[in-house]
Amino acid sequence: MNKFIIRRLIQAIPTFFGITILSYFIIAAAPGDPVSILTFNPKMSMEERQQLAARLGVNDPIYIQYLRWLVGDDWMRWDTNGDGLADRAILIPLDADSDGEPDPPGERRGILRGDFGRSFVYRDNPLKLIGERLPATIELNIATLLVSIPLGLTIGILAAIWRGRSFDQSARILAVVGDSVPSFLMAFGLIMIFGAPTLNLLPMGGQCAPVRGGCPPIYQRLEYLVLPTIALSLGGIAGWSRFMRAAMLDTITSDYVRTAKAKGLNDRIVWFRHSARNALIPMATFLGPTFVSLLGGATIIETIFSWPGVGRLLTQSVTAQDYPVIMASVVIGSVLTIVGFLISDILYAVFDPRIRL
Amino acid sequence: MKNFSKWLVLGLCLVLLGTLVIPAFAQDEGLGAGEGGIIITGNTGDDPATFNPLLANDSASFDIVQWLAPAIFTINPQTGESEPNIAGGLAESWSYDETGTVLTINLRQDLAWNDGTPITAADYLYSVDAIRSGQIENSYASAFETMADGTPAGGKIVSVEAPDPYTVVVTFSEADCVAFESVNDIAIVPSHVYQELYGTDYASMMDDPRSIPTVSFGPFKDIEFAPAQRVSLIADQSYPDTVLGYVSPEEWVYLSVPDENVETERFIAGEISILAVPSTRQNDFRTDPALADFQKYEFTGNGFTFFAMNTADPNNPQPGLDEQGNLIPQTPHPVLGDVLVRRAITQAVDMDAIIEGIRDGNGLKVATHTIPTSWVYNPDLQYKFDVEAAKALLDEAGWVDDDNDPATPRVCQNCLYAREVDPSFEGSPLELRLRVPEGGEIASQMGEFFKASLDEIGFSTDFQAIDWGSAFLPELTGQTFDMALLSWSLGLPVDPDVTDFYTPAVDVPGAGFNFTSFYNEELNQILAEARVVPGCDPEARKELYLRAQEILFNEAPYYYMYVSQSMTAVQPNLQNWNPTPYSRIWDTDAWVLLDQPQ
Amino acid sequence: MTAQPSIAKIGASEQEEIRTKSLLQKALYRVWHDRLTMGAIIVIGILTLLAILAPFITNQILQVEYEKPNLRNNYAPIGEPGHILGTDDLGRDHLARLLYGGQVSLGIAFFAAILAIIIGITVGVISGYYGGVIDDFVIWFITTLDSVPQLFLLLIISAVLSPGPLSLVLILAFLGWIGATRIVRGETFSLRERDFTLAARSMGASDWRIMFVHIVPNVASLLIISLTSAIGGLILTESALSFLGFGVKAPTPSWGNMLSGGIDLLRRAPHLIFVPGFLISLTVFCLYLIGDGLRDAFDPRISD
Repeated sequence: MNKFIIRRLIQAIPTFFGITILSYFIIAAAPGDPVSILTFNPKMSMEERQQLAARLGVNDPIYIQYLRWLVGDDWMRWDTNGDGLADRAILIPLDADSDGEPDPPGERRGILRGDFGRSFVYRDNPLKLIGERLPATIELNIATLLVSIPLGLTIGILAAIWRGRSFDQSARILAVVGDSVPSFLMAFGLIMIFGAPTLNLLPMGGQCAPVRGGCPPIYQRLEYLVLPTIALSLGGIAGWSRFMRAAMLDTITSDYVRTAKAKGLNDRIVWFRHSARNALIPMATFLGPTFVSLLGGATIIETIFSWPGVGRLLTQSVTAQDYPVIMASVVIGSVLTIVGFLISDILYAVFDPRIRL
Repeated sequence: MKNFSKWLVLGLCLVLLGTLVIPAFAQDEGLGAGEGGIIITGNTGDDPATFNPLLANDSASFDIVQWLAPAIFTINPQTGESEPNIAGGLAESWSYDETGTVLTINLRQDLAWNDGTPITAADYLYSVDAIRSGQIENSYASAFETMADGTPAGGKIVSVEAPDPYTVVVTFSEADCVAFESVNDIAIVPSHVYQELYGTDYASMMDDPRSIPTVSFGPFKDIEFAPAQRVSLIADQSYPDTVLGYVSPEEWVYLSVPDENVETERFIAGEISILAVPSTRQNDFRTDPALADFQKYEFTGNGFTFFAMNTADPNNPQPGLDEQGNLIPQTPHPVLGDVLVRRAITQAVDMDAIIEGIRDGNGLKVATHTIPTSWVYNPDLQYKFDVEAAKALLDEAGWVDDDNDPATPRVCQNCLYAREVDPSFEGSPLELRLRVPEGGEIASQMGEFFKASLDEIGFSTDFQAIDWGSAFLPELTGQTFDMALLSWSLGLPVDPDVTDFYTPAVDVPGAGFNFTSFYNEELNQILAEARVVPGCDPEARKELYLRAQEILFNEAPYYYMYVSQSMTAVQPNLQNWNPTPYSRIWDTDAWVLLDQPQ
Repeated sequence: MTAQPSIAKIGASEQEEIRTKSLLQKALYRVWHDRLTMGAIIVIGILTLLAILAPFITNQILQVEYEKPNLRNNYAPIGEPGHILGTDDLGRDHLARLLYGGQVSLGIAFFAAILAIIIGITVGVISGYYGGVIDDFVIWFITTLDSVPQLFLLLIISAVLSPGPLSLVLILAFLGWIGATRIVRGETFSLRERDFTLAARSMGASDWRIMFVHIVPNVASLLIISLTSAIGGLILTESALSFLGFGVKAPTPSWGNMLSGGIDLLRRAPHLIFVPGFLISLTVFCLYLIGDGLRDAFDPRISD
């Protein structure tokens, strides 16, 4: 088993590099540049702009920027005699901002050494910015999984048991209707209906009440979690219920179940012991992708409900072309995804010993 | 017995009366320190990037740092003029010497940071040194960074000194009426704290831009920051410049909201205390009986929308001046280089329809770059919406409708570009690109309306809403656009000096704000003259600025559209709110929220 | 003598093909009699027809100019004379804009999905058939693309490239072909060792012929089903992108940007939200139903 895990981890490494290259080169195609955005202000002088551009390294060729991001630039421009000014440089110019003086030595160490640079907008470590918001996103995702999976599975099982009857038809239709409406419309509708304008039952946004002292523990602020979770679960409920129904129906017609029925076993036992349990195996493979899609799908929900998660940070960073934060989000998102896939692979192998290769 | 009950009833009546009357007095006074409730305001943008006044660069950060330190000059919220001894201002008095180049500022001696340390000139000089060092990124203080070096884009301040702890002496390179304001661009910081934390290693400030300040001066203090959720400050009772003698609200909160629609809904629900009402909802607040209880204040802000026309060739953007400061002649734009065409455009668009239909009537039509309440506003200038006149101007400019088919654009027959630059241009169609930034509904709508209006008089307009950061801004500042629509929002009071917008020195592709490459010799002279009018005599300056507006009107590098009518609304139970056009939050220390909901 | 075993094998493959054909016929029969699915197909058909005929309808039947703003008559409600579904914020006819918007939204979703499936089929069958290094590379590329949360990548690309409808089709296809590839690749693996493949190869059929004439049709049913849900998903993705400020930009109408533009008009002109929202939901809903119906129809285990 350990060998299996290690092998999968090793296989994940080229994937990781593929992701970084892909993302970086997409950003390289960007026609705008962050310096203009940051400095749209009549009183900034040309020299200041050049200094900023040199400091951010946006004028270097794209592969240099990628290298700098990956492994840093303290080996690209360095100081040999201790005077604070760089004396030697390879790959990048000694005087990048063309002010007649050599620039300070490179300070970046690259993400492989833990340095994710500094956000162009917030001038802060992107990992810190993401770390501040990641718990909220994870909280929402876990709540959604806890709601959508049991609910979805139950609906699917019941729809399979009462196949062809009205419950089956109406449950399938309802599940799908919830998933057909664009997410932001659904979210906005939920706020307007359950919030202050109409029913005034639930808060209109945020993770907790705006009081000092931070948010109370989760069991004291569940009402803030309700609407975002509902909005985010609808897709999952639709998906899981249809999957479970199909999986159940698959096993119903299989030989061993028929045999069990012929032997006269109680219907209910047959269903749950054999059908449902065997449906769990392929379910394990869906957990990974489910988590991934939640990470991405939460973006809109987080924005509308002012849920302090990573999604809104990403949207803002994309608009502002804040490369360090975008790249950090992609890397973190991908790492989580790879971990999610790994977990689902492991679960699959646990449930089905044949898979351990 | 009867007598006794009579006295009893009378006594009860008096008591009853008293309970009615006394709170009425108390309402104007306040309920006591920290009893005024929690004031909540919405933030539709990003989180603040920093709590360090020296690093503040975005509006969310400025909103926070305004509570943390005094400014050297503050404006009187009633008059809009910089005056001494205003709450929150450090200057007690100031005077120029007889040459007009040396400004001596006397600081108040009674102010102290909330740890007891007095506020002195050293707190200002620390900032000056920090910004001059070039180690920190602060874009607003170019007045200092580029020392007066004879270049047109240089700053005006030669030196800043403090002969004693309560006097600051600023020396300018010339007697400039406008440079006064730039003295205020430098923030005041608790230098005793900053010395300890950073010393002269100013760059290290940027390692932790969101470190919470421990020492401040203002009605609120002690920032608590929950990322993507809220920023909260509590009352600082040591603040001396209060209206009531104490700080009334308990807490001031900035709440993150996704956009102004949700913000408005939450305001109506009572969750937000003060709101800048979006233009699409202003009419609701005026007429809807359900919203009648909210207190409203309407004023003409300093936000205006305008339509830029690139007068120079977009295929070859050139700076206005070369390195020696000599003028570089600009190749005219093939279509918009002709002032007749620009004037035709200003007469082709029905601005009333735009204001009525798109802005719901919440806009004031203007024909200049200043607002109607500015002291230099020129009321004699008006655009005239006249489609026939616009067509006639195009004919005169050499753009002719040669096939009488309204679906095809006009063509050049002896137009300016063909005459003066490239004869082979003859016969080209009247085609232009119009760009607006994506994301503002109103900008897209106006763009579409402009396109339809221009196509009416014979243009063929290619209209696109494009992403602000990656597409619109590069085209605008890079000067590769034809026509662009944008809006601006500056604070009041209005600065009549527009050197930063219309002179060749700031015609720098990629950086400067003279996007349209506009150059007019007379305008340059007027603007330069107005800065050095002896004694800064307002009448003389006003004459010059009136003429400047006339020039811009006639030459039409911009079609000035309208100025926004702003409306601020607060909850019905908010007392002691005295908004002025210059500030709606200048007296927050006196605010009282009665009977807080929930 | 040597021809004999081949003839026997040809017989087997023909029988397989006969079985496949009757499965298709069976499926069509079932769909025809499934009221829910047929209803959904009809609805989609009507919407598609209306979208295609948008210019004709706008000019001949409605007789409005859908692009021209008329600010004096904006926000007109439903039922206004001359404008059945009212007018939008610039006074343009709402119905006409919806028709043209349908062209854009349905068109983008449809063509992107088809393109994605075509790419997916091609890559999947080549990868599954040849295996080896090609397959390793394809797997690496797929896993890479899959590991980045889709919306992240989409946001970044849209912000960076500011695409119009055409490039949006390409981008969505580029992100969407992975699902089809996986299915096709898996099937190809199992099918390439089957009898009819060996028979065809021994007959001298080229690799390409085997791949596209013999293998691909066997996965057709799976692909049609995934096609319908792909189209539905892409319609929702387009509206999500428009909401976030990317996606199809003004002045080109699309259901997505009409819906997100109308969000703040809830009190003033609710029809500007509800009609596009309803159309999007209806379309996606019907596509789901069709997908479900097709899956049931092609299922060999369900007895009639």
